[in-house]
Amino acid sequence: MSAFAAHSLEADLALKAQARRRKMIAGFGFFVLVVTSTIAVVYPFYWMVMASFTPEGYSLTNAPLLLPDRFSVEAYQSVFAERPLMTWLGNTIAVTLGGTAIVLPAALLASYGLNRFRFRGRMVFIFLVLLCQLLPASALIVPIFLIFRDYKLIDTTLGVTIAFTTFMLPMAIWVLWGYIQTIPHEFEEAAMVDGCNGLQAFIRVTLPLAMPGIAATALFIFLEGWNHYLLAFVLTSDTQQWVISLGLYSFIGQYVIEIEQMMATSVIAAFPALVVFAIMQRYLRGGLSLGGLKG
Amino acid sequence: MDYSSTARARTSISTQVYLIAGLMLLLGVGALWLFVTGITDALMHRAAGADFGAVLLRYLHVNGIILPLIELGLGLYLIRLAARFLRRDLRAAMWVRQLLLWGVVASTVFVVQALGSALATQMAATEAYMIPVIGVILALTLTYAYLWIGSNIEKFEGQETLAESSARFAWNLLVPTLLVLVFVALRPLEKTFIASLTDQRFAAGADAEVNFVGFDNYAKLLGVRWDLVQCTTDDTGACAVDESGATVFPRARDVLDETYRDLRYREISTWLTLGGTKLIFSARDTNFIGSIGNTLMFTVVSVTIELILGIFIAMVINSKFPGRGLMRAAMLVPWAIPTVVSAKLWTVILRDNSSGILNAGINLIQRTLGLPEESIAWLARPETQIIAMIAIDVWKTTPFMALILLAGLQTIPADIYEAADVDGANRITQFLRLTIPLLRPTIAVALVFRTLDAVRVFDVFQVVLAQKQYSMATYNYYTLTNSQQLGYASAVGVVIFVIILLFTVAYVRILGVSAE
Repeated sequence: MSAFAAHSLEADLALKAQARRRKMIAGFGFFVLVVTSTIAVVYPFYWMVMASFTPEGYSLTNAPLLLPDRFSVEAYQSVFAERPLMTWLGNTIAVTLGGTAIVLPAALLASYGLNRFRFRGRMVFIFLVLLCQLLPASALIVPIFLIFRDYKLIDTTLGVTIAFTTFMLPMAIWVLWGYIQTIPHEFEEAAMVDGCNGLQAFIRVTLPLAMPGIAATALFIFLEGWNHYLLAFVLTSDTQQWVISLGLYSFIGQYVIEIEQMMATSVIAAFPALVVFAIMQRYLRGGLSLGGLKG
Repeated sequence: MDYSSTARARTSISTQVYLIAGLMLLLGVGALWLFVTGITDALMHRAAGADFGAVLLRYLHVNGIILPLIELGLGLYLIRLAARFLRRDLRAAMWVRQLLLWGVVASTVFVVQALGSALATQMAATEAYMIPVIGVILALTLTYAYLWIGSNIEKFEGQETLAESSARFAWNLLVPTLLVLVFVALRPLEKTFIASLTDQRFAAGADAEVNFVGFDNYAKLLGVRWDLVQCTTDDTGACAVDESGATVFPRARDVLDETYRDLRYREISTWLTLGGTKLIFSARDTNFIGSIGNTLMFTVVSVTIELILGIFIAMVINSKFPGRGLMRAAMLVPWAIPTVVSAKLWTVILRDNSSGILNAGINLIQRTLGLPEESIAWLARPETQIIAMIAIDVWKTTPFMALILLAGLQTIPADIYEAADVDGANRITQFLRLTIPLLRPTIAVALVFRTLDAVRVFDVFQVVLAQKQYSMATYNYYTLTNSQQLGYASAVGVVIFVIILLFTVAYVRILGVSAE
């Protein structure tokens, strides 16, 4: 009897040890996966920063993998001297902030209206938003160019901003919808019982509760605006009106000699977006929910 | 005396009701009149002997497609509303009041714009300021009518339900979005479609003639055909064979019917060779058909990889381990980097010779393993070009996928997994039986968004490959800028739109995605 109990205890211990070992191996495997995937994701970015700090012409022949043996900031000096980088950055910021300022209120109202109310024409409207979401920018560049030329919006920051707005609006509606959906509408009803009208209930109750979602959407729009390329490419030809992504494009054809300068410009172009991202990324903790559509 | 004063009040109220109803009726009839004159104008040109295509084109150029529909719908709606308003229907009155408010806003904007252009053009003062003055009068009239209905609302009969008043409120919320979508998205789309029916050229002189060509552009763009070609026979009647032992076939354009040559079909690929015949696939615009293939390949492969990696990353971010915050930030870095930057960065990484960082890495591994060093010209060969595109896109957009999936993961309660643990299910079973089914709705939505984005891919292809290989979007762009064929390029745009639409419909059917 006692022998049997001892045996079973021993077996139990052995089993536990085995389980612990297996858990450790699994943990180690998990760790390796995490580390390698992080490196795979971050390394190109690291290389970009590193190459931008090498003397001109260095990375072409040496292609350093980890650390170069010579550092230099001459690439930065020459890009700032040779190209209107600050103007491009200023234009990009103007387009991005302007776009966010137009898209966010419109999308907020629309997603609130579509999420909270049932009315005739609602499905038609949702379909319309989805349709506009599907529009390929490349299919619209011609008419947008012609229409904007009529309104003298070519080569203006305003023109690029307006065009950008159109393509961000549907996406912003879906993203915000997801956040508004998580706010119980009983809150607004309670406010309405207390004498608020619809708009007041929205401004005083829903808006503050939706703030994290609004921040996430704003970040999303900002990053897309910073990314934004095709429409700016078509709508601006004057280099003084370019956004930074177009400035980068201008390195095409010269890239053989100027890797360092190109990388330096890339770092400068990515830097503001990364700063904003670093500040705002906590609002993405719960992910981006596209609540308007359900699988 | 009392009696007469109420009677007077009633008549005066009635006057205003009649006036407002009349205004609505006038606007409604005006809209219908615009609709009808558009058609009669076209009919008159037809009667004058213009051919059908020219008349249709003229109509579309003047009126478009959306505008007549809006005119018709708005006209009928306003007339009906005016009739209900006359019957003192409260619900109609509320809607009239709503429309008047929008009218006030619209006419104010109109006045500001007209004033702006009047100041800018410096026309003769009276002419230039006539339009703003009319606008001001209109705005004031509409404001008066709006205020009058507001203060006399008790004169109307009936009751507006809560649902009806909130519907009105909801439409108020949607107006800004509606305006943006109609004027900056749908109107250009309509113009693209109209242009695609013509042979219009970009930047052509004002006197250049624009002809209606129907669906010719589409026929040229999508013209594909399969043909069976017989081998070249030698003297004995058997198939001729070249030095390497392969059967010799004549050029397709030499043996096939005349339309093949006249419509400039060109061979894309041979599908199968059987005995003395082969099946060849030709297209009129080989570049476009090729770009469809490239884009579909790019879309399917990159989205699949992104989905798998995205689920993995989302689960890692969602689990608890030391350094999790750091990893989450690191994983999302590529998303924050502008596409042009990442595309440029990768062109350097993938450079053909050993100065490309990837080749340097591969060479390093080859050296350590004692293998001969060999560099791959990633961006020089068609097959590896597409692989490079996929790699860049995966690097860049997997974080976005992960973010969407993370939102879905966080809605799965942790106690489900605890219950599964108690039941003895291992991690893999839990993943397959719990996570995936519960995540399915989010996966569906993420797939839709990523696929639609991938089908429209432009910047990566343009920055890295330029005209070496096309995606549909870059082909669209280059047809426009290189050959300046506005009509043809527009047709490309419409075809892309239709392909995306088909994708969406397929997704909606297969995955059961619906708008909430």
